[in-house]
Amino acid sequence: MIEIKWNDLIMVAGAAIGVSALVVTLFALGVRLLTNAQHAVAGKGKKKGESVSKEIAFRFTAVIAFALASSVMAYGLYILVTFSKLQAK
Amino acid sequence: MDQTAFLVVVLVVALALFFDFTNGFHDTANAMATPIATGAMKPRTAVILAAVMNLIGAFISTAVAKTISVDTINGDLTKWGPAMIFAGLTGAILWNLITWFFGLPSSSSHALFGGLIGAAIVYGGFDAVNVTKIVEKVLIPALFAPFIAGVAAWLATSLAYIITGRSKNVATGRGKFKVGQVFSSSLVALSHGTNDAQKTMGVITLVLVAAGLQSGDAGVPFWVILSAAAAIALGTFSGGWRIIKTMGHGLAEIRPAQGFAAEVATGSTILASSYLGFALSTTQVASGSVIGSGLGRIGAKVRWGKAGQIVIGWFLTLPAAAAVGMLSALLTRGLGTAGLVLDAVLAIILIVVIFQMSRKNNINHKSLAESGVEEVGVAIASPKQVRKEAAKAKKAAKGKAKK
Repeated sequence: MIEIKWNDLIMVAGAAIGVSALVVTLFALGVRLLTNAQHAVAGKGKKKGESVSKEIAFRFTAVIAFALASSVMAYGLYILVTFSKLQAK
Repeated sequence: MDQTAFLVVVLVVALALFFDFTNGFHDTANAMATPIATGAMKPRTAVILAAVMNLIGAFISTAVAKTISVDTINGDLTKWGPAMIFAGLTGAILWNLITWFFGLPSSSSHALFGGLIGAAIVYGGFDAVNVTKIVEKVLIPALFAPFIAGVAAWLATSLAYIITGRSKNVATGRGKFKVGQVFSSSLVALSHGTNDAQKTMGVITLVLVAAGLQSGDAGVPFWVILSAAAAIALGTFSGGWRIIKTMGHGLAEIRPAQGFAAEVATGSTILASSYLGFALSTTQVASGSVIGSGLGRIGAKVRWGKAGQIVIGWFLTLPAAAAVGMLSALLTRGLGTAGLVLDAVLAIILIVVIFQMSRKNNINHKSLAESGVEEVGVAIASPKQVRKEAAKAKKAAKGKAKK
Protein backbone atom coordinates (compact mmCIF):
# COMPACT_ATOMS: atom_id res chain seq x y z
CA MET A 1 0.00 0.00 0.00
CA ILE A 2 1.53 3.28 -1.09
CA GLU A 3 1.58 5.74 1.75
CA ILE A 4 2.39 9.31 0.83
CA LYS A 5 2.88 11.72 3.70
CA TRP A 6 0.89 14.56 2.19
CA ASN A 7 0.95 16.62 5.39
CA ASP A 8 4.75 16.47 5.51
CA LEU A 9 4.95 17.36 1.85
CA ILE A 10 2.67 20.39 2.32
CA MET A 11 4.71 21.47 5.34
CA VAL A 12 7.97 21.13 3.40
CA ALA A 13 6.52 23.19 0.56
CA GLY A 14 5.15 25.85 2.93
CA ALA A 15 8.37 26.11 4.95
CA ALA A 16 10.60 26.18 1.85
CA ILE A 17 8.54 28.81 0.06
CA GLY A 18 8.00 30.91 3.20
CA VAL A 19 11.60 30.86 4.40
CA SER A 20 13.14 31.58 1.02
CA ALA A 21 10.71 34.46 0.44
CA LEU A 22 11.53 35.86 3.88
CA VAL A 23 15.33 35.63 3.54
CA VAL A 24 15.40 37.05 0.03
CA THR A 25 12.98 39.86 0.95
CA LEU A 26 15.16 40.87 3.91
CA PHE A 27 18.36 40.71 1.89
CA ALA A 28 16.81 42.61 -1.02
CA LEU A 29 15.58 45.28 1.40
CA GLY A 30 19.15 45.56 2.70
CA VAL A 31 20.46 45.95 -0.85
CA ARG A 32 17.82 48.57 -1.66
CA LEU A 33 18.53 50.59 1.50
CA LEU A 34 22.29 50.40 0.98
CA THR A 35 21.88 51.66 -2.57
CA ASN A 36 19.63 54.45 -1.31
CA ALA A 37 22.31 55.37 1.24
CA GLN A 38 24.93 55.62 -1.49
CA HIS A 39 22.52 57.74 -3.50
CA ALA A 40 21.85 60.00 -0.52
CA VAL A 41 25.59 60.71 -0.20
CA ALA A 42 25.87 61.51 -3.87
CA GLY A 43 22.61 63.57 -3.89
CA LYS A 44 22.90 67.14 -5.08
CA GLY A 45 20.97 70.29 -4.15
CA LYS A 46 20.30 69.18 -0.59
CA LYS A 47 21.62 70.40 2.68
CA LYS A 48 24.69 68.47 3.79
CA GLY A 49 23.30 67.62 7.25
CA GLU A 50 20.07 66.32 5.80
CA SER A 51 21.79 63.93 3.36
CA VAL A 52 24.17 62.67 6.06
CA SER A 53 21.35 61.81 8.46
CA LYS A 54 19.44 60.14 5.63
CA GLU A 55 22.49 58.11 4.71
CA ILE A 56 22.99 56.97 8.30
CA ALA A 57 19.32 56.00 8.61
CA PHE A 58 19.45 54.02 5.37
CA ARG A 59 22.67 52.27 6.33
CA PHE A 60 21.41 51.44 9.83
CA THR A 61 18.18 49.94 8.50
CA ALA A 62 20.13 48.04 5.82
CA VAL A 63 22.37 46.51 8.49
CA ILE A 64 19.29 45.40 10.43
CA ALA A 65 17.80 43.82 7.31
CA PHE A 66 21.06 41.97 6.53
CA ALA A 67 21.36 40.86 10.17
CA LEU A 68 17.82 39.48 10.12
CA ALA A 69 18.44 37.63 6.85
CA SER A 70 21.69 36.21 8.29
CA SER A 71 19.88 35.15 11.48
CA VAL A 72 17.35 33.13 9.49
CA MET A 73 20.20 31.47 7.58
CA ALA A 74 22.09 30.84 10.81
CA TYR A 75 18.94 29.24 12.23
CA GLY A 76 18.95 26.97 9.18
CA LEU A 77 22.50 25.97 10.04
CA TYR A 78 21.46 25.39 13.66
CA ILE A 79 18.64 23.13 12.49
CA LEU A 80 21.07 21.22 10.27
CA VAL A 81 23.49 20.56 13.13
CA THR A 82 20.97 19.87 15.91
CA PHE A 83 18.78 17.73 13.66
CA SER A 84 21.78 15.60 12.72
CA LYS A 85 22.64 15.23 16.42
CA LEU A 86 19.03 14.31 17.25
CA GLN A 87 19.07 11.64 14.56
CA ALA A 88 22.31 10.27 15.99
CA LYS A 89 20.59 9.73 19.35
CA MET B 1 38.93 -14.46 7.35
CA ASP B 2 40.96 -15.73 4.40
CA GLN B 3 43.08 -13.51 2.20
CA THR B 4 40.73 -13.60 -0.81
CA ALA B 5 37.73 -12.52 1.26
CA PHE B 6 39.78 -9.71 2.74
CA LEU B 7 40.87 -8.55 -0.71
CA VAL B 8 37.22 -8.55 -1.83
CA VAL B 9 36.36 -6.28 1.10
CA VAL B 10 39.25 -3.96 0.21
CA LEU B 11 38.05 -3.84 -3.40
CA VAL B 12 34.46 -3.03 -2.38
CA VAL B 13 35.59 -0.33 0.06
CA ALA B 14 37.77 1.23 -2.67
CA LEU B 15 34.81 1.17 -5.06
CA ALA B 16 32.54 2.74 -2.43
CA LEU B 17 35.05 5.54 -1.96
CA PHE B 18 35.24 6.03 -5.71
CA PHE B 19 31.43 6.27 -5.77
CA ASP B 20 31.73 8.94 -3.06
CA PHE B 21 34.25 10.77 -5.24
CA THR B 22 31.90 10.71 -8.25
CA ASN B 23 29.07 11.82 -5.96
CA GLY B 24 31.19 14.84 -4.97
CA PHE B 25 32.11 15.98 -8.44
CA HIS B 26 28.66 15.17 -9.80
CA ASP B 27 27.01 17.37 -7.18
CA THR B 28 29.42 20.33 -6.97
CA ALA B 29 27.02 22.11 -9.29
CA ASN B 30 24.16 21.98 -6.79
CA ALA B 31 25.81 24.60 -4.63
CA MET B 32 28.32 26.29 -6.88
CA ALA B 33 26.85 26.52 -10.40
CA THR B 34 25.00 29.78 -9.80
CA PRO B 35 27.77 31.70 -7.95
CA ILE B 36 30.17 30.72 -10.73
CA ALA B 37 27.65 31.71 -13.42
CA THR B 38 27.07 35.15 -11.91
CA GLY B 39 30.76 35.76 -11.19
CA ALA B 40 30.19 35.86 -7.42
CA MET B 41 33.15 33.53 -7.10
CA LYS B 42 35.89 32.36 -9.42
CA PRO B 43 35.36 28.71 -10.44
CA ARG B 44 38.40 27.42 -8.53
CA THR B 45 37.53 29.42 -5.38
CA ALA B 46 33.96 28.13 -5.55
CA VAL B 47 34.93 24.46 -5.73
CA ILE B 48 37.48 24.87 -2.93
CA LEU B 49 34.79 26.42 -0.72
CA ALA B 50 32.34 23.66 -1.67
CA ALA B 51 34.96 20.99 -0.91
CA VAL B 52 35.69 22.46 2.53
CA MET B 53 31.96 22.72 3.33
CA ASN B 54 31.36 19.13 2.21
CA LEU B 55 34.28 17.98 4.36
CA ILE B 56 32.90 19.80 7.42
CA GLY B 57 29.39 18.56 6.64
CA ALA B 58 30.57 14.96 6.55
CA PHE B 59 31.88 15.27 10.11
CA ILE B 60 28.79 17.00 11.57
CA SER B 61 27.00 13.72 12.17
CA THR B 62 27.09 10.10 11.15
CA ALA B 63 23.41 9.59 11.92
CA VAL B 64 22.34 8.63 8.41
CA ALA B 65 25.31 6.29 8.08
CA LYS B 66 24.44 4.52 11.31
CA THR B 67 20.87 3.95 10.34
CA ILE B 68 21.35 3.38 6.62
CA SER B 69 18.74 1.06 5.27
CA VAL B 70 17.88 0.76 1.67
CA ASP B 71 14.11 0.72 2.07
CA THR B 72 13.65 0.08 -1.61
CA ILE B 73 15.07 -3.43 -1.11
CA ASN B 74 13.28 -6.08 0.93
CA GLY B 75 15.44 -8.00 3.34
CA ASP B 76 18.86 -7.60 4.83
CA LEU B 77 21.53 -6.40 2.44
CA THR B 78 24.32 -7.97 4.46
CA LYS B 79 23.08 -11.53 3.84
CA TRP B 80 24.25 -11.44 0.21
CA GLY B 81 27.80 -10.46 1.13
CA PRO B 82 30.16 -7.73 -0.17
CA ALA B 83 29.97 -8.96 -3.80
CA MET B 84 26.33 -7.88 -4.12
CA ILE B 85 27.16 -4.39 -2.80
CA PHE B 86 30.10 -4.27 -5.23
CA ALA B 87 27.73 -4.98 -8.15
CA GLY B 88 25.32 -2.28 -6.97
CA LEU B 89 28.09 0.28 -6.65
CA THR B 90 29.28 -0.48 -10.19
CA GLY B 91 25.82 0.42 -11.53
CA ALA B 92 25.71 3.65 -9.52
CA ILE B 93 29.21 4.75 -10.57
CA LEU B 94 28.72 4.06 -14.25
CA TRP B 95 25.38 5.91 -14.36
CA ASN B 96 26.93 8.86 -12.48
CA LEU B 97 29.74 9.00 -15.04
CA ILE B 98 27.41 8.72 -18.04
CA THR B 99 25.19 11.58 -16.80
CA TRP B 100 28.31 13.61 -15.96
CA PHE B 101 29.60 13.05 -19.51
CA PHE B 102 26.39 14.48 -20.94
CA GLY B 103 26.38 17.27 -18.34
CA LEU B 104 23.10 16.09 -16.85
CA PRO B 105 22.51 16.75 -13.17
CA SER B 106 20.98 13.54 -11.76
CA SER B 107 20.59 12.17 -8.27
CA SER B 108 23.59 10.16 -7.02
CA SER B 109 21.43 8.67 -4.26
CA HIS B 110 18.91 7.39 -6.80
CA ALA B 111 21.80 5.92 -8.80
CA LEU B 112 23.00 4.13 -5.65
CA PHE B 113 19.49 2.83 -4.91
CA GLY B 114 19.14 1.75 -8.55
CA GLY B 115 22.45 -0.11 -8.63
CA LEU B 116 21.69 -1.93 -5.38
CA ILE B 117 18.15 -2.80 -6.52
CA GLY B 118 19.50 -4.31 -9.75
CA ALA B 119 22.05 -6.37 -7.86
CA ALA B 120 19.44 -7.43 -5.28
CA ILE B 121 17.15 -8.72 -8.06
CA VAL B 122 19.91 -11.07 -9.22
CA TYR B 123 20.67 -12.25 -5.69
CA GLY B 124 17.15 -12.34 -4.24
CA GLY B 125 14.73 -12.32 -7.20
CA PHE B 126 12.06 -9.72 -7.96
CA ASP B 127 10.64 -10.18 -4.46
CA ALA B 128 13.69 -8.30 -3.24
CA VAL B 129 12.34 -5.08 -4.77
CA ASN B 130 9.96 -3.01 -2.70
CA VAL B 131 7.95 -1.28 -5.45
CA THR B 132 5.80 0.64 -2.95
CA LYS B 133 8.88 2.20 -1.40
CA ILE B 134 10.28 3.06 -4.84
CA VAL B 135 7.11 5.01 -5.58
CA GLU B 136 7.14 6.65 -2.14
CA LYS B 137 10.85 7.43 -1.88
CA VAL B 138 11.93 7.96 -5.47
CA LEU B 139 9.09 8.70 -7.88
CA ILE B 140 6.87 10.97 -5.78
CA PRO B 141 9.78 13.10 -4.45
CA ALA B 142 11.16 13.33 -8.00
CA LEU B 143 7.85 14.84 -9.08
CA PHE B 144 7.53 17.30 -6.19
CA ALA B 145 11.13 18.32 -5.36
CA PRO B 146 11.79 20.47 -8.43
CA PHE B 147 8.26 21.88 -8.30
CA ILE B 148 8.49 23.03 -4.65
CA ALA B 149 11.99 24.48 -5.11
CA GLY B 150 10.96 26.06 -8.40
CA VAL B 151 7.98 27.86 -6.86
CA ALA B 152 10.14 29.00 -3.91
CA ALA B 153 12.85 30.32 -6.24
CA TRP B 154 10.34 31.96 -8.60
CA LEU B 155 8.65 33.81 -5.72
CA ALA B 156 11.95 34.81 -4.11
CA THR B 157 13.38 36.06 -7.41
CA SER B 158 10.24 38.04 -8.19
CA LEU B 159 10.36 39.66 -4.73
CA ALA B 160 14.05 40.48 -5.10
CA TYR B 161 13.43 42.20 -8.42
CA ILE B 162 10.39 44.11 -7.16
CA ILE B 163 12.19 45.36 -4.05
CA THR B 164 15.37 46.37 -5.86
CA GLY B 165 13.50 47.73 -8.88
CA ARG B 166 14.97 50.78 -10.58
CA SER B 167 13.59 54.03 -9.24
CA LYS B 168 14.35 57.59 -10.30
CA ASN B 169 18.12 58.18 -10.44
CA VAL B 170 18.83 55.24 -8.12
CA ALA B 171 20.65 52.21 -9.48
CA THR B 172 19.36 48.77 -8.57
CA GLY B 173 22.55 47.70 -6.79
CA ARG B 174 21.75 44.07 -7.58
CA GLY B 175 25.45 43.24 -7.85
CA LYS B 176 25.46 43.20 -4.03
CA PHE B 177 23.59 39.90 -4.13
CA LYS B 178 26.92 38.31 -5.06
CA VAL B 179 28.05 38.67 -1.43
CA GLY B 180 24.93 36.88 -0.27
CA GLN B 181 25.58 34.13 -2.80
CA VAL B 182 28.84 33.19 -1.07
CA PHE B 183 26.95 32.42 2.15
CA SER B 184 23.87 30.82 0.61
CA SER B 185 25.92 28.49 -1.59
CA SER B 186 28.09 27.53 1.39
CA LEU B 187 24.98 26.47 3.28
CA VAL B 188 23.86 24.29 0.37
CA ALA B 189 27.34 22.69 0.15
CA LEU B 190 27.36 22.03 3.90
CA SER B 191 23.96 20.36 3.84
CA HIS B 192 25.12 18.23 0.88
CA GLY B 193 28.13 17.00 2.86
CA THR B 194 25.89 16.19 5.81
CA ASN B 195 23.67 13.96 3.68
CA ASP B 196 25.68 12.44 0.87
CA ALA B 197 29.02 11.53 2.47
CA GLN B 198 27.09 9.55 5.04
CA LYS B 199 25.57 7.28 2.42
CA THR B 200 29.03 6.02 1.52
CA MET B 201 29.91 5.65 5.19
CA GLY B 202 26.77 3.55 5.52
CA VAL B 203 27.64 1.40 2.52
CA ILE B 204 31.20 0.75 3.77
CA THR B 205 29.89 -0.10 7.23
CA LEU B 206 27.40 -2.46 5.58
CA VAL B 207 30.29 -4.17 3.75
CA LEU B 208 32.24 -4.55 6.98
CA VAL B 209 29.19 -6.07 8.69
CA ALA B 210 28.50 -8.35 5.70
CA ALA B 211 32.10 -9.57 5.78
CA GLY B 212 31.91 -10.22 9.50
CA LEU B 213 34.58 -7.63 10.27
CA GLN B 214 32.23 -5.60 12.46
CA SER B 215 29.08 -6.24 14.46
CA GLY B 216 25.81 -4.77 13.18
CA ASP B 217 25.20 -2.49 16.16
CA ALA B 218 28.68 -0.97 16.27
CA GLY B 219 29.10 2.62 15.11
CA VAL B 220 30.85 3.89 12.01
CA PRO B 221 34.63 3.48 12.43
CA PHE B 222 36.60 6.75 12.39
CA TRP B 223 38.71 5.70 9.38
CA VAL B 224 35.46 5.24 7.43
CA ILE B 225 34.23 8.74 8.37
CA LEU B 226 37.61 10.25 7.50
CA SER B 227 38.00 8.47 4.17
CA ALA B 228 34.40 9.12 3.07
CA ALA B 229 34.70 12.81 4.01
CA ALA B 230 38.00 13.09 2.14
CA ALA B 231 36.63 11.29 -0.94
CA ILE B 232 33.56 13.51 -1.27
CA ALA B 233 35.64 16.65 -0.64
CA LEU B 234 38.21 15.58 -3.24
CA GLY B 235 35.44 14.83 -5.73
CA THR B 236 33.87 18.22 -5.08
CA PHE B 237 37.24 19.88 -5.48
CA SER B 238 37.72 18.20 -8.86
CA GLY B 239 34.64 20.12 -9.93
CA GLY B 240 32.12 18.50 -12.20
CA TRP B 241 32.55 21.33 -14.68
CA ARG B 242 30.24 19.81 -17.27
CA ILE B 243 27.30 19.78 -14.87
CA ILE B 244 28.25 23.17 -13.44
CA LYS B 245 28.02 24.53 -16.97
CA THR B 246 24.55 23.02 -17.50
CA MET B 247 23.21 24.25 -14.16
CA GLY B 248 24.85 27.67 -14.34
CA HIS B 249 24.21 28.54 -17.97
CA GLY B 250 22.41 25.72 -19.73
CA LEU B 251 19.08 25.88 -17.90
CA ALA B 252 18.53 29.61 -17.59
CA GLU B 253 20.33 32.92 -17.71
CA ILE B 254 21.27 33.64 -14.14
CA ARG B 255 22.09 37.01 -12.59
CA PRO B 256 23.22 37.63 -8.99
CA ALA B 257 19.73 38.27 -7.53
CA GLN B 258 18.41 35.13 -9.23
CA GLY B 259 21.43 33.10 -8.11
CA PHE B 260 20.95 34.19 -4.51
CA ALA B 261 17.21 33.43 -4.64
CA ALA B 262 17.87 30.02 -6.23
CA GLU B 263 20.40 29.01 -3.56
CA VAL B 264 18.25 30.22 -0.69
CA ALA B 265 15.33 28.25 -2.17
CA THR B 266 17.54 25.15 -2.54
CA GLY B 267 18.90 25.47 1.00
CA SER B 268 15.52 26.05 2.63
CA THR B 269 13.85 23.22 0.69
CA ILE B 270 16.57 20.74 1.66
CA LEU B 271 16.58 21.84 5.28
CA ALA B 272 12.78 21.76 5.53
CA SER B 273 12.63 18.31 3.92
CA SER B 274 15.38 16.89 6.16
CA TYR B 275 13.78 18.36 9.27
CA LEU B 276 10.28 17.15 8.45
CA GLY B 277 11.45 13.74 7.29
CA PHE B 278 10.51 13.96 3.63
CA ALA B 279 13.77 13.19 1.85
CA LEU B 280 14.29 15.07 -1.42
CA SER B 281 17.15 14.86 -3.88
CA THR B 282 19.54 17.84 -3.64
CA THR B 283 20.16 17.72 -7.38
CA GLN B 284 16.47 17.81 -8.26
CA VAL B 285 15.85 20.62 -5.78
CA ALA B 286 18.77 22.67 -7.13
CA SER B 287 17.68 22.17 -10.75
CA GLY B 288 14.12 23.22 -9.91
CA SER B 289 15.44 26.33 -8.15
CA VAL B 290 17.48 27.39 -11.17
CA ILE B 291 14.45 27.02 -13.46
CA GLY B 292 12.25 28.88 -10.95
CA SER B 293 14.71 31.75 -10.70
CA GLY B 294 14.84 31.84 -14.51
CA LEU B 295 11.08 32.27 -14.61
CA GLY B 296 11.13 34.87 -11.83
CA ARG B 297 13.04 37.52 -13.78
CA ILE B 298 11.15 39.18 -16.57
CA GLY B 299 12.99 38.71 -19.84
CA ALA B 300 15.11 35.78 -18.64
CA LYS B 301 15.18 32.73 -20.85
CA VAL B 302 14.60 29.19 -19.58
CA ARG B 303 15.97 26.53 -21.90
CA TRP B 304 13.16 24.01 -21.74
CA GLY B 305 14.88 21.62 -24.12
CA LYS B 306 17.75 21.15 -21.69
CA ALA B 307 15.32 20.99 -18.74
CA GLY B 308 13.45 18.19 -20.56
CA GLN B 309 16.68 16.23 -21.08
CA ILE B 310 17.47 16.54 -17.39
CA VAL B 311 14.02 15.29 -16.36
CA ILE B 312 14.36 12.29 -18.70
CA GLY B 313 17.72 11.61 -17.05
CA TRP B 314 16.07 11.64 -13.60
CA PHE B 315 13.50 9.05 -14.58
CA LEU B 316 16.11 6.88 -16.30
CA THR B 317 18.49 6.97 -13.31
CA LEU B 318 16.91 4.18 -11.28
CA PRO B 319 16.26 1.66 -14.11
CA ALA B 320 19.56 2.40 -15.87
CA ALA B 321 21.68 2.03 -12.72
CA ALA B 322 19.64 -1.08 -11.86
CA ALA B 323 20.35 -2.59 -15.29
CA VAL B 324 24.11 -2.09 -14.88
CA GLY B 325 23.89 -3.39 -11.31
CA MET B 326 22.08 -6.50 -12.58
CA LEU B 327 24.66 -7.21 -15.27
CA SER B 328 27.44 -6.72 -12.78
CA ALA B 329 25.70 -8.96 -10.23
CA LEU B 330 25.23 -11.71 -12.83
CA LEU B 331 29.02 -11.87 -13.13
CA THR B 332 29.72 -11.75 -9.40
CA ARG B 333 27.05 -14.35 -8.61
CA GLY B 334 27.86 -16.65 -11.51
CA LEU B 335 31.65 -16.60 -11.36
CA GLY B 336 32.30 -15.78 -7.70
CA THR B 337 35.57 -14.00 -6.99
CA ALA B 338 36.67 -14.32 -10.61
CA GLY B 339 33.45 -12.57 -11.64
CA LEU B 340 34.12 -9.81 -9.19
CA VAL B 341 37.61 -9.28 -10.61
CA LEU B 342 36.21 -9.37 -14.16
CA ASP B 343 33.57 -6.85 -13.08
CA ALA B 344 36.25 -4.56 -11.65
CA VAL B 345 38.34 -4.78 -14.84
CA LEU B 346 35.32 -4.06 -17.06
CA ALA B 347 34.27 -1.15 -14.84
CA ILE B 348 37.78 0.33 -14.97
CA ILE B 349 37.84 0.01 -18.78
CA LEU B 350 34.46 1.74 -19.09
CA ILE B 351 35.48 4.49 -16.67
CA VAL B 352 38.69 5.12 -18.65
CA VAL B 353 36.73 5.18 -21.93
CA ILE B 354 34.24 7.74 -20.55
CA PHE B 355 37.08 9.94 -19.26
CA GLN B 356 38.91 9.68 -22.59
CA MET B 357 35.76 10.61 -24.51
CA SER B 358 35.21 13.57 -22.19
CA ARG B 359 38.70 14.85 -23.00
CA LYS B 360 37.71 15.32 -26.64
CA ASN B 361 35.25 17.93 -25.46
CA ASN B 362 37.04 19.05 -22.35
CA ILE B 363 35.36 21.50 -20.02
CA ASN B 364 37.34 22.86 -17.11
CA HIS B 365 37.42 25.87 -14.82
CA LYS B 366 39.26 27.92 -17.45
CA SER B 367 36.80 27.29 -20.27
CA LEU B 368 33.97 27.89 -17.84
CA ALA B 369 35.36 31.26 -16.80
CA GLU B 370 35.85 32.31 -20.41
CA SER B 371 32.49 31.13 -21.75
CA GLY B 372 29.48 33.34 -22.22
CA VAL B 373 25.84 32.41 -21.90
CA GLU B 374 25.23 32.33 -25.65
CA GLU B 375 27.76 29.62 -26.43
CA VAL B 376 26.44 27.27 -23.78
CA GLY B 377 24.50 24.33 -25.04
CA VAL B 378 27.09 23.89 -27.77
CA ALA B 379 29.80 23.37 -25.19
CA ILE B 380 27.93 20.48 -23.63
CA ALA B 381 27.61 18.39 -26.71
CA SER B 382 28.19 14.80 -27.61
CA PRO B 383 31.42 13.98 -29.50
CA LYS B 384 29.27 13.58 -32.64
CA GLN B 385 27.94 17.11 -32.24
CA VAL B 386 31.45 18.41 -31.62
CA ARG B 387 32.69 16.77 -34.84
CA LYS B 388 29.71 18.23 -36.70
CA GLU B 389 30.47 21.72 -35.35
CA ALA B 390 34.16 21.35 -36.27
CA ALA B 391 33.27 20.24 -39.82
CA LYS B 392 30.91 23.19 -40.16
CA ALA B 393 33.61 25.61 -39.00
CA LYS B 394 36.12 24.04 -41.41
CA LYS B 395 33.67 24.40 -44.29
CA ALA B 396 33.01 28.02 -43.41
CA ALA B 397 36.75 28.73 -43.23
CA LYS B 398 37.27 27.10 -46.65
CA GLY B 399 34.44 29.19 -48.12
CA LYS B 400 36.04 32.35 -46.78
CA ALA B 401 39.46 31.40 -48.19
CA LYS B 402 37.95 30.81 -51.64
CA LYS B 403 36.37 34.25 -51.61
